[in-house]
Amino acid sequence: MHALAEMLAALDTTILVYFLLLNSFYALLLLLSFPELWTHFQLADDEYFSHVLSSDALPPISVLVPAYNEEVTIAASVMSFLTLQYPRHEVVLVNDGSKDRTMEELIRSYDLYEVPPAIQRTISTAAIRAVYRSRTHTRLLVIDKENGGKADSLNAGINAARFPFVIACDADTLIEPDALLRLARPLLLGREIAAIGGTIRVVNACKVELGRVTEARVDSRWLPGCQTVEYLRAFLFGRLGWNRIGGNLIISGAFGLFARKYLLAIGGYQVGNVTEDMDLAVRLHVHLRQRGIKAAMPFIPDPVAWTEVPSSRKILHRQRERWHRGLIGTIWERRRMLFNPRYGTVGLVALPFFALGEMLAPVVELLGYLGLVLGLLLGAVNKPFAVAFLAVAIGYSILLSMWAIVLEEVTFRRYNARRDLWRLFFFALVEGIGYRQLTVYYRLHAFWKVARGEKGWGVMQREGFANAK
Amino acid sequence: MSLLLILGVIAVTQVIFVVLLAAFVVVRRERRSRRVQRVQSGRAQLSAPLAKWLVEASSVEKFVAGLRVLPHESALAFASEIHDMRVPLEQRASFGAALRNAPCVHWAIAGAGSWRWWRRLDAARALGIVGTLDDADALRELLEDVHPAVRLAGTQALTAVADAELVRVAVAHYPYEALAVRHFTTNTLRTVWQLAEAPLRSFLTSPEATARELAAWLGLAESLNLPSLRLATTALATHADSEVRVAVARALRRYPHAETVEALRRLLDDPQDFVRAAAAQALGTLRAAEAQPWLERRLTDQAWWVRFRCALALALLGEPGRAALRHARQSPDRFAREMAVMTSGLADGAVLELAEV
Repeated sequence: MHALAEMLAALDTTILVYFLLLNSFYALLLLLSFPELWTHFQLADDEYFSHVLSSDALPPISVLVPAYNEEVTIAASVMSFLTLQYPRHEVVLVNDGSKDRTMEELIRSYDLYEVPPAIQRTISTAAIRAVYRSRTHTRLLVIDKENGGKADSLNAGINAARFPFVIACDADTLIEPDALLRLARPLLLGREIAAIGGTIRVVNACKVELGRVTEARVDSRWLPGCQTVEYLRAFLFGRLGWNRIGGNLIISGAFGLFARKYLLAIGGYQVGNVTEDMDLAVRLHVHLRQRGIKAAMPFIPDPVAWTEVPSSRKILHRQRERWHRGLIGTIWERRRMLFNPRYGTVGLVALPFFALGEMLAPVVELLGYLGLVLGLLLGAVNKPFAVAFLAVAIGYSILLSMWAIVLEEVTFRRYNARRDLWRLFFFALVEGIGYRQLTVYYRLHAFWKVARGEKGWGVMQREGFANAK
Repeated sequence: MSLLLILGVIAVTQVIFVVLLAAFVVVRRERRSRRVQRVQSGRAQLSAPLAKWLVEASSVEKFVAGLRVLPHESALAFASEIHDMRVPLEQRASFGAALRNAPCVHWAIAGAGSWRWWRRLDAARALGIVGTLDDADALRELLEDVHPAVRLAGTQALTAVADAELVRVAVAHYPYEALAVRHFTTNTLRTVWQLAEAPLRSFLTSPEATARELAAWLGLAESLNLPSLRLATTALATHADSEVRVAVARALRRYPHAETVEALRRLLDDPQDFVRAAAAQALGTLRAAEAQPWLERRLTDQAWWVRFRCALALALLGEPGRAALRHARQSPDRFAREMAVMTSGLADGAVLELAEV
């Protein structure tokens, strides 16, 4: 019994140290995000620069849209991509062997005609059945191919893209009309760019008209509401903070811009990886580092794409388990980079943080809960100490969420209604109790699936946009 | 102090911070809402004097005096909007002169040496409206600012501060500028092209110029579209560096001339495919009918982009070019056949759009 009590005490100390280190790093990210956010806000909020950004100084961009079984929404989705405010862009839609009438709908809606598949196959993909151009919309190219998954479709799009920069989008993501203009800002201001990440926000309760979010709202339901705060925190200071450190490891798969030459150089997306976006970002970092290329991969906060988040525990479970499985897979594959000075900031800071602070976090948290319960049962843990520690841990996550809301308020203010502000406060307060433990469980499940060698995406059912017209 | 006490202090501090942050958000939202109302009502008050001044029914001073109701940043932003409006040059000049002593302009120009780049940006923007030759020194510093946004605004002031030396500096810096700064420098230099012509010609003919510099200056020459730069541009068609040759091919589309077409014919046989593609594009833009056989021949080029550009150029040549494409659909060469099928299905508007990009 004495040995067990000592073990529990050691576990408590370990968790306390882990907690302090991890949260100190989050605090550092928060501090680093201030100057980044302020700089972006100065440019993003300036009407003068809106004018600059809509100029034809912008480089042309290919928007890659993989589609699978989207017959109901495909025509409207394509139109929303074609009508994005950008002086020169093409849309490369890749039909990934849909089993429904997606292709027929596209042919009918856009008067497509088949052209010879004169596309360079730099990255190997599943067989291409046919290539189509539109008689009515010259900026549209449609590739019909055998089913190979999202990564394979994006690779086919990268092959076919005409322009030096490509944007990877999901067909069901709503991109704000001026988001491409904003996303291209670092290119205009003279930085050598390998990739740029934009912000993803939660669309669930927003008012959507003709494929555009016309009024941002915070969902009153528990799961989407907590995820709204979670997304704000992740994008507004998590990724901005990483900009300053130089180790941004995630360019969202639903909305990110890449220099095509670097994607071709690394062989495009890795087919079969369940979180292809993080894997791609890591491989890009490695490629740039190994060749001494000084190209940045910044995240910028004001270009916004809206996505639906799971509103049921079942779907959230699948999503978070898949994300975590992808994280474990990527870290495992790149384990030689951990603490390896040859890979610079990514090897020394970013990847270790993702391994210890993100990948192992649910395990540590579980051990913490178990240790706490056991300790209390055995009387090995001081009750007031345990309560105070829990309060500080939950308080810290509330504080970080509140900071994210403050950053949102002083900069971009998407949520105008007072009701939404109160909802954000409310979810920031309650997220740490219940929701957090739920996601810990889902992420732990990922370890179990990895141990059993399970792969695959799982079905992501969507509700469709509420308030859509 | 025990660990428990430390945790307790941290917990209490957290609660205080959370409450303060929530209060900050609420108070800030209220203050912002009041400020927006103030700006909106100020701008509404100004609409009548602005309308009167635009139809010359009232003096500009009346309108400028009214700007005082707005906060400095908003007043400057409003002044920038008005300066960008399509108003007669004399009216714009009188607006600049009247605004020179406005508090918002004093405030903005005082920020020219600030460590905050957005304050320097406001200074450059203000000089774009009220600048004169006396501001040349201040503007030179802004043109050499470390932040591209400030340089961008600075280049726009070149129209107001039309100083030959500053224009030379802007042209000299051009190859090293960010895309957006280049774009706005080009737009501004169009308004002071008389001052830009001589330095640009001297840079284009300079033996010390690097390939990167020449390519950028050729791009500028193309955008300024000055006939006097045709010879200097054509002379670089045989440059050893392909980056320069491709810039020449692009620039020559602005100079319809027999020598231009001849230079493009040679570039259509360049060893580099991207130079051949640019030459084909330029021949299409020039609607050079004599280029039809050369373009037909290049439909069998090894490079997809060259075949694509040649097919589009043929489509731009009107009926003879279209006929050549129809003929190429039966070509024994697979490359030519496929490209002809692909482009001959395009509507005229589509050809124009694709040929431009």
